Amino acid sequence: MAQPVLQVQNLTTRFHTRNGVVRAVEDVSFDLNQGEVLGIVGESGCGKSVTCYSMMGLIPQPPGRIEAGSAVLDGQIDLLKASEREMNAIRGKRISMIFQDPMTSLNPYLRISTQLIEPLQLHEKLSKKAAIERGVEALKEVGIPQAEERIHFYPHEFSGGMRQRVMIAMAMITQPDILIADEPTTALDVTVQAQILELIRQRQQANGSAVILITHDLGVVAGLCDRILVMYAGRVVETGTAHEVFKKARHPYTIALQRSIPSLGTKGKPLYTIPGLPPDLSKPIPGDAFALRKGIVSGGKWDHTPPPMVQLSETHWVRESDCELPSLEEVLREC
Amino acid sequence: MSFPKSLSPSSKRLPTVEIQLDQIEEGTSLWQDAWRRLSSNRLALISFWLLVAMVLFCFVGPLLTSYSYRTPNLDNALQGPSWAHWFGTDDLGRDQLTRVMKGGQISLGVGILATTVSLIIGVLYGATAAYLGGKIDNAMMRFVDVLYALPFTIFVILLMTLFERSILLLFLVIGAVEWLTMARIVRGQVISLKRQEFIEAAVSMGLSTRRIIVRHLIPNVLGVVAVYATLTVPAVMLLESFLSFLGLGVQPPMPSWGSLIKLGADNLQLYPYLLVIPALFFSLTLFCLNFLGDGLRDALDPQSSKD
Amino acid sequence: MFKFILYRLLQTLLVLWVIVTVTFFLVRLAPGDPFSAERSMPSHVKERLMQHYGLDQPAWVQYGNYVSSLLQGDLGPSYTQSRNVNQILAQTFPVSLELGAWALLIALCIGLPVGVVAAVYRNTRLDYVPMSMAMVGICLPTFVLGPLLALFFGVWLNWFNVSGWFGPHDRVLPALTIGLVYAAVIARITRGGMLEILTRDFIRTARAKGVPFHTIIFKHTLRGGLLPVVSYMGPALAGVISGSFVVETIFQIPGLGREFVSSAFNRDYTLVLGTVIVYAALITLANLLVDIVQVLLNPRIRFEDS
Repeated sequence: MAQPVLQVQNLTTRFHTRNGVVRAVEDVSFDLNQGEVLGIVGESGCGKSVTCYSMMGLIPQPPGRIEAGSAVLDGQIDLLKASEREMNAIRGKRISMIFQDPMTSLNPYLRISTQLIEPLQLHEKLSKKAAIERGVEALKEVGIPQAEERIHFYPHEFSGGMRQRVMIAMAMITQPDILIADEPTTALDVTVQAQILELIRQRQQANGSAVILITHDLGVVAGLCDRILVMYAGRVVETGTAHEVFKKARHPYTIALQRSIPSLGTKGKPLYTIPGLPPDLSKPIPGDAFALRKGIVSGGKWDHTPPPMVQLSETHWVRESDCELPSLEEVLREC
Repeated sequence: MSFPKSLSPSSKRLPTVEIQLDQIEEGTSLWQDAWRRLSSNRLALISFWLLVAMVLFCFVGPLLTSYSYRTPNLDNALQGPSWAHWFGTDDLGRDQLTRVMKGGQISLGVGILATTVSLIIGVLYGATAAYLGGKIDNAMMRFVDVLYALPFTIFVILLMTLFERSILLLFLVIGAVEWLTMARIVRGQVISLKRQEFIEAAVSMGLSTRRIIVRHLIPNVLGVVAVYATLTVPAVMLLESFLSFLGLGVQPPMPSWGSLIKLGADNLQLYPYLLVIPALFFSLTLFCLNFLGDGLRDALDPQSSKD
Repeated sequence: MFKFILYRLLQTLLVLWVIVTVTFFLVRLAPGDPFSAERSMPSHVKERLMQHYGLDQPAWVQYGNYVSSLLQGDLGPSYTQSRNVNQILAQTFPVSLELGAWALLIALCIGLPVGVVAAVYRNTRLDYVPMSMAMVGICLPTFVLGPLLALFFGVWLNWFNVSGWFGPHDRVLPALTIGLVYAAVIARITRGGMLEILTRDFIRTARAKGVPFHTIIFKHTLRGGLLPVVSYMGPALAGVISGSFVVETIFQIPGLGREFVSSAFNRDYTLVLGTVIVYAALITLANLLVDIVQVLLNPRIRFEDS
C-alpha cells in the first residue's frame, strides 16, 4: 500500500486552565491515505476539532499544550515539531482548512479578492494580476456567478452559503494535498448544506486531495466518506470503512450515534437521544468513558485503565467497552 | 463526584436538585462572589485601603492639626518643610499640611457629590429612555448625542468665568457633563437586560413586574453603575481640579488640590515642595480610584476582563 | 459616500450655528460687560463706548449684525485690545495649532506602537510594564504633569526653558505634557482594539492559510484594531485643546488657549465668540473627518449608508 499522506500517532493535547487540566485529545492515532475522505465523528467537545487544530499548529499555547504524539506529513515532516516558519509553508499550501462559521471566518475589513489570492501570493509567488485571474477561476469553480465582479466585493455582501463557497475556493486554490473541513455545514441552512458537501466532494475529486471531514452529524459523513473515525471524550472509539462503521458497528457509542439520526421513514416515533452528557474532560477518566455516561461506574472490566482497541478486520478497529452491546438488529427493529 | 453503583429512583433525582441549589446560591451570592474576586485582586485591595487612609487623612486630619487653613500669617510665608510645618507653608504663611487636607476634603467631596448628582440624573434619564422605548427613547438619546458633540470644556470654562463662581455652580456644571455617559450606559444595560432570557424566564414564571425590577433588574444594573461611578469620581475630580487650576473652580481662601497645584506650578523654581506634595496626593488618589474601578469591573463582570 | 459627506457637512454647520447662538446669548446673559473691569470709567464715556460698539441695541439686533458680519468672515473688533478679533486669532491660532499638532504626533507615535506590542505579546512583560506606565500616565493630568516636567527638566536638569515659546527647544516640554497623557490613553485603546480583533475567527483563517505573523498583524488585524483609536481622535482633539488651556498658562505660550481664558475673564464678547467659533469648528470638523475615515476603514458602514 502507498505511503499515507498523513500519519497521526498518539496525539495528546491538553489545556492547562485555571480550573484544571482539560484532556481534550488523548492518544489519538490514525492514517490518512492519498485522495480519501476521512470523517471524524462525535458530539461537540469530544476532541475532533482539537485533533485537527493540533496538527495545524493552531492551538493557542498557552493554555493549550501538545503533550505527546506525532503527525507526520508524507513520511517526512512531523507537523507537531515543525517550526512556525515551516508550518507557514505547509499551511495553505499542503494542508488547507475550512471552518464552521463562514460568517466570522472571513475578514470583514478586506475584500474577497485580497483574502482569496493570499495563498497564491504567499505560496506560489504569483503576481497580483495572475493571482486575481486564478481567483476568478476558483470562484467560478465553486459556482459563484459573476465572479469577475464579485471577487472585488466584501464578505458581508455575500450570503452564508456563498461565503462558505468562497472559503472552499480559498482552501482549494493551491490544490493542497489535504483539506480539513471543520464542521463546514453546521452553521448553514439545511438547503445549502447538501450543496456545500457536494461541492467539497467535487473539488476533492478534481484536485485529488485527501479530506478530513469533522462533523457531529453521522448523516453528513454517510454519503461522503471512505473511512470514519468515531471519537468520544478525547479518544477514538471506533474506526473503519464507512461500510464497517455503518453496518458492522461494534462500539455502543457508534450505535447510539446511529440511532440518533432522524430518518424519514419513522414518523411518529420519538427520536432516540443519548442519555446524559459527555463527561467533564477536566477530570481524568479512569476507565470506559462511555460506560460512565450510561451510569455504569464500577464493577466493569475497565475500571482503572482505558479499554484497549481491538482489531476486527484489516481496517476495522473498535475500543472495548463495559456497556452491553445492543445488536444491530435490535437497533433496526426499534427504528 | 462519585455516583452510587445502583441508582434507586429517589437518588436518581438527586443530581438535578443539586444543580438547582447551585444556581440559587449563585444568584444570591453575586455580590459575595464579586467581593471574593475583588479581594483576590491585590492592586484593587491596596487601592481601597489607601483610599480609606486618604479619606481619614483629609477629613479627620484637620481636627488634629493646630493650624487654620484660612488665616494668613505673612511673617511665616513660604517656609520649607519643618517639624512645625511638615509640608511647609504657602505664600500667605498658612500651614500647607492643613491646606492639603482641606483641599483633599474639597476635591474628594466635590468628586463624590458631583458623581452622585450625575448618577441620579443619568440613571433616571437612561432608565426612563430604556423603559419607554420607541420614539421617545430615540429622541432622548439623540439629545444626548447632540450634547456629546458639543465642545464641553469650552462651555464649562465659559460658564465658570461668566457667572458668579460658587460650589453650587461647580456641581451643576460638572454634573451636567458627566451624566451623559451614565445615561447611555444605564440605558444600554437596561435594554440588554430587558431582552435577556432570564428576565423572560422570570416573566414566564409569573413574577410580578415589581419583583422583576427589584430582584433582577436593579441588582444587575447596580453592578455596572457601581463600576462606572467609581470611574466617574476620578473624572470629576480631574475636571474640578482642572477648573481650580485655571482659577475657575473653588474660590480662595478655600483650597482644592487643583488650586494648590496651581500655586506650586507658579512657584516651582523656588519652592518645589509646594508643587510636588499636592501633586503626589492628587495623583495617588486618582490612581487608587482608577485601579479600584478597574478591579470592581473585573469582579462584577468577569467576562469583560478576559482579555 | 458623497451623499454621506454632504449630509454630515450640513450637520456640522448646524452644530456650529447652535454653538455660535448659544455662546452669543450666554455671554450676554452673564452679569457685567466688557467695560465693567475698569471701575473708574465715567458713565458717559462708557455709554459712548457701548453706543460705538452697538452694545446698547436689543440683543437680537446685535445678534443679527454679528451673524451677518460673521458670514462675511469678519469676527468684529475686540473690546479690550486694540487689534480686531481676526488679527488676534491669526496671531495666536497658529501657535496653538503647532502645539496641538506636536502633541498629537507624540501621542500617536508612542501610543500606537506600545498598544500594538502590548496586545500582540499580551500577558507578558511587554504588556504589563507599558500598560502599568500607561495607567500612571492617565492618572497624571496635564496640569500635574506639566509643572512636574518643568520642575524636573527645566529647573533641576536645566535642559529646557521653563517658559516661553521661541526656539524649537521650547516646543518640547509643552508638547510632551499634552502628548504623554494622550499617548497613555491611545495605548490602552489600541491594545483593547487589537485584542478584540486578534481573537476573531478570521485571524485563525489567516493562520491556516500560512500567513506569516507580521502580515497577520499589519494586514489582517491593524485595520479593524485601529478603528477604536480613530473614533477616539475626536475626543482626543477636544482633550488636546483643553490641555492647551493649561499648558499655555503653565509655559506662558502666546496661544489661543490663553487668549480664550483671559477673554472670558474680561468679558470680551467678540473675542470669546471668535475663539469659541474656532474651537468648535476645529472639533466638529475633526469629528467629520473621523467619521469619514471610519467609513473608509470599515466597509460594512460604507455600504449601509450608500
